[in-house]
Amino acid sequence: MTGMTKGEAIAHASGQLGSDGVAVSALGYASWWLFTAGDRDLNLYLKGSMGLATSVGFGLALAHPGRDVVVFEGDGSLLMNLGGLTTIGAYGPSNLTIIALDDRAYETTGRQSTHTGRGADLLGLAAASGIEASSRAETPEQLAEYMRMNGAGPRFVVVPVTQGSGTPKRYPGSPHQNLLRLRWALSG
Amino acid sequence: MPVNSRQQTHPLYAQAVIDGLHRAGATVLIHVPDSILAPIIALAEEDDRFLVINASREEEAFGIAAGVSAGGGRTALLIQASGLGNSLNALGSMVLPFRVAVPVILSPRGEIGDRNWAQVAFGSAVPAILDLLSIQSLDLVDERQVADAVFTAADSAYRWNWVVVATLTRALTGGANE
Repeated sequence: MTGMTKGEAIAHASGQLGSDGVAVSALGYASWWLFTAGDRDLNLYLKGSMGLATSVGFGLALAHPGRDVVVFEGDGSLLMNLGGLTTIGAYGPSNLTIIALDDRAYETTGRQSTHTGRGADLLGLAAASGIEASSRAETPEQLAEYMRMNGAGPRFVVVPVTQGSGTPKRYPGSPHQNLLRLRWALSG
Repeated sequence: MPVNSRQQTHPLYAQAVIDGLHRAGATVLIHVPDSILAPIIALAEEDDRFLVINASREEEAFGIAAGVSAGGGRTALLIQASGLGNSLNALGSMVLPFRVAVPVILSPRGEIGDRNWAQVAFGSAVPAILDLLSIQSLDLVDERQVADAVFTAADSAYRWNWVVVATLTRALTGGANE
């Protein structure tokens, strides 16, 4: 078991992003902790569409092949879009990293168990989807190491996390404002 | 007269859809396979002006489109009407709130003449569902007008930052085989 909470893991990974790295987060706690870690013009926070953060990140990676794109996913949301993993495995965007924060629960809806708590293997699913660079990060140091892109993506990093404590803040703007801010930042 | 593409022969509407999308500036085409869309997808895959992505499911296709659009790119979806049913939450909780620009080339199912009655209930509901979501659509009927109509639909989607649907009618394509 890692010593990292979900908030600590997201804060640490967010700190590894370069100044021009793009971040996309799944709805709920992933988005709230990413915002709490430090809002950036290059952050896109999903507020709905559970499961699609990975696909949105893939689209951004296609639109900006010269930038690193990092997706913060939960275990529950990843399990909602396993087909999306196979698409990424098929097309292999080298600038995409998916960080799967695995707390074995649907935290946002009340900590009901996900199937990773019953044996589902996210690393195995990623590898079987054709994402060869898949790793498990137990420590902040391993997380930093696996996030180093060097054009060798797509990467898939499972981070076992605990729920932790504290109340994360939420992006106050509308989804449209969030998207426009990102688009303008990318066009600059 | 049909268009020859390597060994295959494609109906004229297929090239017209491609031409309309290109004229509007689309560069990333995302699809889920469908028999009516197949000749369009085949032509796009041979066309260096497009990056063609095969999504596993239609809501995933909308997710990829949202990312491309957020990044400033111009994309279009080619999906079957039943796949629109798979995408309702993506539309309601992401595409429309983010105001993602997505032209959709839609292959209808369940329209009058479709032999597969399993498609009828949802296919019949598609126009009302689009209307409830404030998504406008136009029908592609006349082969000679397809390129202009597709251009207009896609251009409107990009100008409005919204979803606009162009439907490949049975009158144009002859309908699905099953």
